[in-house]
Amino acid sequence: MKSIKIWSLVAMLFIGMAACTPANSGEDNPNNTPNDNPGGNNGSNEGVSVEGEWVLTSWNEIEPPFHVYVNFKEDYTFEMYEQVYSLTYEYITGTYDLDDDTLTGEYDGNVHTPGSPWKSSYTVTKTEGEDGTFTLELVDESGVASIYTSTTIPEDVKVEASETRAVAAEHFL
Amino acid sequence: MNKYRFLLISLAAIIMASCVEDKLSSTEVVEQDMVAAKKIINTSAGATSGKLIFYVTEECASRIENAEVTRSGMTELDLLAMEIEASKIKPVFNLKVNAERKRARGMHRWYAVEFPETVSLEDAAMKLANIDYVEAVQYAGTVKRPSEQATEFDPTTNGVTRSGEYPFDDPGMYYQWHYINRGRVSLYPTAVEGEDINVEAAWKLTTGRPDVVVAIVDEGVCYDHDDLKANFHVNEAELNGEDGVDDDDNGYVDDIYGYNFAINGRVSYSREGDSGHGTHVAGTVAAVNNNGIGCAGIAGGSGNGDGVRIFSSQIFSGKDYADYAHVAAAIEYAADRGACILQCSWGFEPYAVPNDNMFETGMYSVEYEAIEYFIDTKNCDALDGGLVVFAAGNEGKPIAGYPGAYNSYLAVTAYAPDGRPAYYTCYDQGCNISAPGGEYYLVGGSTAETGCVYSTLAGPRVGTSSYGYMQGTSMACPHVSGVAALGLSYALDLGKSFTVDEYKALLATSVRAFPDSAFEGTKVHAEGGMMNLPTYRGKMGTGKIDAYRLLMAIRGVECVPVSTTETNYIDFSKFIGRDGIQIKVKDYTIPDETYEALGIAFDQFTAGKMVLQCSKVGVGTIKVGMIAGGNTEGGGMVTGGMRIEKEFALISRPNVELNEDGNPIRNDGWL
Repeated sequence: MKSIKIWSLVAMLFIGMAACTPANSGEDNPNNTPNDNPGGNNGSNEGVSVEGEWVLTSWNEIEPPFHVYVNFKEDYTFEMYEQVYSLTYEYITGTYDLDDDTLTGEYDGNVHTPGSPWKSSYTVTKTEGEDGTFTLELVDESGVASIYTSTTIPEDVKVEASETRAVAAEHFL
Repeated sequence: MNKYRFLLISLAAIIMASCVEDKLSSTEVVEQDMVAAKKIINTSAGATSGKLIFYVTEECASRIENAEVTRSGMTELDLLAMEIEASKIKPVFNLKVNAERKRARGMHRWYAVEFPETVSLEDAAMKLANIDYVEAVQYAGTVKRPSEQATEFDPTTNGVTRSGEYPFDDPGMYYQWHYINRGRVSLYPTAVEGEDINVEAAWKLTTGRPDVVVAIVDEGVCYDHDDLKANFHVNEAELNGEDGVDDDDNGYVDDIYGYNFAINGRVSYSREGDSGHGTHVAGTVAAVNNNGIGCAGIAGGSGNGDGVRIFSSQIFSGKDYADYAHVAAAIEYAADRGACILQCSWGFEPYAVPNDNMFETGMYSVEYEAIEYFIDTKNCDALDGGLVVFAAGNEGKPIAGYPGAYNSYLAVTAYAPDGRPAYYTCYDQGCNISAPGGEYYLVGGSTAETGCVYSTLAGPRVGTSSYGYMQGTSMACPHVSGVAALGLSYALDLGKSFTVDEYKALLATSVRAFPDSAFEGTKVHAEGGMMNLPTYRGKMGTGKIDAYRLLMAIRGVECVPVSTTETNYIDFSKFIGRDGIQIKVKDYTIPDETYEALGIAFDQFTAGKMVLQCSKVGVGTIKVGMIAGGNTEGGGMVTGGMRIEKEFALISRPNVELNEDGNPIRNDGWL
C-alpha cells in the first residue's frame, strides 16, 4: 500500500513537470543573456511565460527616470531590484501568478508591513524583437503600458540592494 | 625730460588743487569730506599699516595700467602718492591670466598702494577717498590664523589595523573614526558607530580623480609629505624651469606647488609659527589611500595615482599673514590655476561683519570680488563653476563667521565622535551643513586627543610627527570639500554635470539628521565648560554630510509618488531624509511640460506643503526652493541660511496610498 502511494506520487510529479516545463526552458539557455528567450516562449503569446530577468525600459510611452529590474522565477516567486522612490536600489520579493495572459502578484510581508497585492493586475504580451531581444508588455487596469526588456540583472545592482546601510533604509516610514 | 614733465604736471596740479581749495567754503569742505568718508568701506581697526586698497573708475584704471610702478599717471593720485611717499601702486588682481574676463568683471579696477608705516593711515585713506575717480577705499586688515594646535601621533600605538577591516591598507584608518566610525570607546568614551561621513560605501564607487583639483587656502601644505606628494597638483613648467624665474609667465615666480601669498614667495610649511594646519586639512581631502602608510584621504584615490589633486594657495606663513588684498589674490590664483573647490578653513570673527550686504560692499569687498570670480570660473567638466567651502568658526557663537556666513557659501559646523555638536563649534545663523570636526575629551584629569580628526602633519622636517590630531570646524570643513571632490569625481565617471547651485543643493541635502538624542542634556567638555545641547537643536545646518548619499543623488533623481485619484499634500522635506533634517521648504516651480504631462488641475503651496491635484499618469519634474540651514534665508541685512533649489521627479499613478498626514507614501514595489 505504501509503495503504491509513493509510485503514484512519483508518476504524478513527472507528469506535472512535463506539463509545466516550457518547450524551450531556461535549462536550454544556461547563460541568461539578453538575447535568450526568458520563459521559453518563441514569440507567440500563446502559453506565455514571464520567467527570466527583465528591466523596465518604457512606462506610459516614456523612458522612465528610475530603474526597475525584476526576476520572475520558475517557482512563481519574484525578486525586484528597484530604484524608484529611493536613491539606492531596494530588494523586494513576492509571489506571482499567470493565468492565461493575466499577471497578478503579491509582495511578501515583513516585520514592519504585511504582504500586499500589486497595485494592479497586468495583461501580458510577449514579443521577440528583430535583434532577438524579448520584451514583455504589461498593461495595467487603467491601460498604462510598461515595457520590460530581457536582461541580466547587473551584479552591482544586487550588491547595492543588499547593502544594509543604504540611503533607502532611512528614506521613508 | 620725463622727470621735468612730471614735475611740471605735479606743480600745476598742486597749484590747481590749492586754488580749488581756496574757493571752497568750510561747509563745502565738510560736505566733500562726508562724501569721501562714505567711500571708505571699512574702519581702520586692526588694519595693516602702510597699505590701502582702492577701487577706481574704468578710465583711471586704464591710465594706471600704462603708468610707472610708483606713479599712476593720474595727477591727483600721483600727488597723493608723492605726499605719502608711496613705494608701490599695483593692481590687486593678476591680469596676466584671464585678463579679458577679469576686466569684464571690473577686477582690474582694484589697486593697492603701499607707503611708509609712519604715514597716518586714516589721513591717507581720506585723501585717497577725496579723489573723484577713486570710488572706494578699503583698509587692508589681515585674516586671522585658526588657533587649533596639533597633537602629534604617537607611533608606538600604531599597527592596530586588522587586515580586511578597512577598505585601504593605511594603518591610521583605525583612528579615522570620522571616515568609518566603528563606535570604539577606546578612541572616544561615548563614540557611536556610524557617526561619520559614510564614505566606506562611497569608496566602492569612486575614490577620486586627478582632474578634480582642490585649492587649499591655508597655511602651506607639506608638498613632499610621503602621504601627500603623489596627489599634488604640480606646475611642471616651474618645476622644470629656472629658479627665480616666472617660467610659465603666469605672474608668479616658482609657483610649483602653489604660491605663498603671505610672503610673496614659494610655498613653505616649516617657518617658525607654522602649525601644520594646512597640511592637516589637505590630508583630509586627499592623503594618498592604500599606500600602506599613514592615513587615508576622502578623495585620495585607490593607491594607483588616481586621487584628486591639491595645491597650496597659502595665506598663512609662520608668523606672517596675508592681508585682504593678498587673500583676494590667493583666491584668484586658485581659480586661475584650475581648482574647482576652494577649501577655506578660516574666516573672520563672528559678528565682525553684520550682514550679507556689508560683506558684499563693506570691509571685505575685495575678498567678495575674488570669491565670486572663483565661483564663476569653470575648471571641472562636471561643474559649471567653483564651489567654496568655509569653516563656520570655533568661537561657539550662534552665528558663522564670514565669508562662510554669506548666504551662498557653504559654512560647515563640527560634531564629535558621538554625533553630538562639538563644544567649540559655531552654529545657527549662516551655518549650512555639519561634518566631523572631532574634539579632545577629558580622561583622568587630562585631555585625550583620539576624539579629534586624524590626518597628515608637516612631518619630521619641522620637528614634529608626520601625522597627528586636530579639532575644529577647520577639520570639519575639508570633510565637506573632500566629499564634494569625491562627488565631482563620480559625476565625471557618469558623464554628468551640474551648475554650482545644483551641486550646492545636492551637497546640502545629502545629509543624515542629527538624532534627537544629540540635543539632549549637557556635555562637559575638554576645556572644563558645560555645553547645553538643546541650544543647538536644529541649528547645525541641514544635517551631517553623507558621501554615499551624495553619490546616489548624483546618479539619480529623487522621485516623489503622487496620486491621480486623490488630492496630494506633499512635504518635500520628507523626501530628502528622515524627520530632523533642517530643510525649510519655501516654494516651488513647475515647468509647463510637467503641467501637461501630469494633467495638473490644481496646485498651491500651503503651510510648507504642496497641494496637488492631477489627472494623468506620467512623469514630470519640479524645482523646489528650500532654505538649507535655519529658517531664515540669508541675504541683504540678514545672516541666514542658503537658498537652494532641488529638482524632483513627480510620478503620478492611480491608487497611490496616502499616509495619515495626507502625504503620498510608497506602496511596496513598482508593480
